[in-house]
Amino acid sequence: MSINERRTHLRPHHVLYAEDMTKSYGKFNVLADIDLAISEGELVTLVGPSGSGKTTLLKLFLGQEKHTDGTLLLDGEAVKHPDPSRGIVYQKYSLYPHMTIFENVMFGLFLRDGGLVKFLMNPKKWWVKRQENKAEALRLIERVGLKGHEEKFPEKLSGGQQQRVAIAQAIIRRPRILLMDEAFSGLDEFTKEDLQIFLLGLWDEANTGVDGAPSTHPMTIIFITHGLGEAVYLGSRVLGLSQYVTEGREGQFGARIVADEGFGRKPGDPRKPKSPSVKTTPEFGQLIAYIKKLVMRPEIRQHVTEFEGTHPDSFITLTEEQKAGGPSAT
Amino acid sequence: MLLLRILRRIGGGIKNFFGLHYQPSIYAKVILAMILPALFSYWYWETSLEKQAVHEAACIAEGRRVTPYKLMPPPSEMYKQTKKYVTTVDVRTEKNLFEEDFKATMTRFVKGFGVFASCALFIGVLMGLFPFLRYIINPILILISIVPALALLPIIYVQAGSEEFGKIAIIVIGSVFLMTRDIATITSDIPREHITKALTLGANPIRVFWHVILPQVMPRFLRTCMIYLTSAWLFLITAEFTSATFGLAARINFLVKTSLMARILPIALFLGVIGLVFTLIFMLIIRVKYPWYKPSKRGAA
Repeated sequence: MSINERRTHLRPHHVLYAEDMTKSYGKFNVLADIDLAISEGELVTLVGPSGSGKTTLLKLFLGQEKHTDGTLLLDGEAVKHPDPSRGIVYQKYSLYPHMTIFENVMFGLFLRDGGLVKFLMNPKKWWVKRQENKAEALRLIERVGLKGHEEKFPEKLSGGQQQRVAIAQAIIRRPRILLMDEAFSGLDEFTKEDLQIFLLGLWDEANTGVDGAPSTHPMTIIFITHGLGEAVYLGSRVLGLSQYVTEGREGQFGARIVADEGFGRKPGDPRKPKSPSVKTTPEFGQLIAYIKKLVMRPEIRQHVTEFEGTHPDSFITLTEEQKAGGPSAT
Repeated sequence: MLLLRILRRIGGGIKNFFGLHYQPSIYAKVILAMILPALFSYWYWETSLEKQAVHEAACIAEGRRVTPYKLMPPPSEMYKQTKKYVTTVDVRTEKNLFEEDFKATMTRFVKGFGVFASCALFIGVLMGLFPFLRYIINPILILISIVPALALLPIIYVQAGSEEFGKIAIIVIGSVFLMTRDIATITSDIPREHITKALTLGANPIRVFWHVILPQVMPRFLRTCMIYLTSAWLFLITAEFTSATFGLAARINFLVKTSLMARILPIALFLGVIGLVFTLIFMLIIRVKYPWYKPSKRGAA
């Protein structure tokens, strides 16, 4: 399916929808003609080399910056300023150094239900809410495996533990979309893998309802990374971002999505990777090489495909084209 | 041998002590910090006694009354003069002279310091938060802070008068511009991610300021206050030197005419002690109220 054909399938009812979206700083195009539709409950990984515009795209999703041209919709509405519908976890500076772990996690609920005005208006209700929120924050701290660390300051925790707290802090208000900006970069391989499994578990939990019913608070995750392995391992769909010149529009630079690979992995799917050992399978390596080729040589063509994973041990099944190492230059 | 033994005890061996990676224990730090003051005190003690002896001999030889040596008085003479100063009652006001001086100096210091620190905090944080304010205010701050505050002294006296208001104005104007710039830099150094994150958690700009910015600025502000204590003292002493009737520095100014070092030195030392006490108070507040704050080792607040 070509990008133009795909475009006709894009509908603004997606949780996040972009069409012909462009972002420029003066004359410099950072992002050009971005077409994207992200459905509810997807775990989309966005991969690309440094300077390819990943973080700019995230800032647009977040509402921190405005796109120059085109359409960007969040639940069918134009994206405005950052608000609790989108949570964010950064590589660094996600946690507030002056707050304890408990206060950091509780902060979102405190901002929603706390404060002097609310207390003065209805002290009893304020107190009941406070107790509920405290219990919720403690439950989440326990869920991220940091029970007993509530009164510590972030600097006393390891990098991996800090990121766990940052995730708990970001999801406590149940955002529709959780944006993660290179959240696991800079961590050692062991911690990174541990966090990847943890994140997949959280994603699974958030999007799986009780007894097969749909989840009451589904959460879409957009995970930005420069690690291809991480992108393929985590994503139910991988988007590759790369700078290139548009066909037929000579001289128009700007990053665009050059790879869009869906793995058909759904929350609660028994085929989701149980173990990081999937990374050692030949298919995993081939898929990485394939996406890498698309990102590194985007001029070959813009490849858009989706396929269902059928491998018994993993979510990865390669098409004939992917096995051959990607599209060839024509 | 004793020195070697001490060095071994505090430094883990001579080689280590003189090495690039020497890391003293807390006791070693105290001992090392005391070395120079102890040497200086010893030198002063010995020299002042020697000078006193020479002076006494000269007085006897010339048939004059034996008086204390004024320029380098021995500690005993300083003690005597200090005791006299703290017990003297001013004939005009019928109040204790030292108490009046101390009260006048502290009032000016607290008022001046309070005004410039509050202004610097308020304007600096706003400048650090809102770039448009930074671009409007910063150029004028740079321009004013280049002019030495002492050069503005006559203008301040002409405009504000040489009464209490003028003195406080000198302390404020002497430090407020530089400190405001420092606070603005401190505020703008707070990662923008913290602000964005708070917005995604549902904060409005006022709550961002109150819950995110201010708590992070406060320990750095207090640390900056510690640095600006010196400058505040400097301008206070200048103000008292030039036009005050009461005040510790004003007292020194009167005593300069009599060259009575036995009284000047203890007052100067006392001014230093007050500064030290303020520094310790700020350090204590930072440690108790902001235990998470670790000042940068590279010198930034």
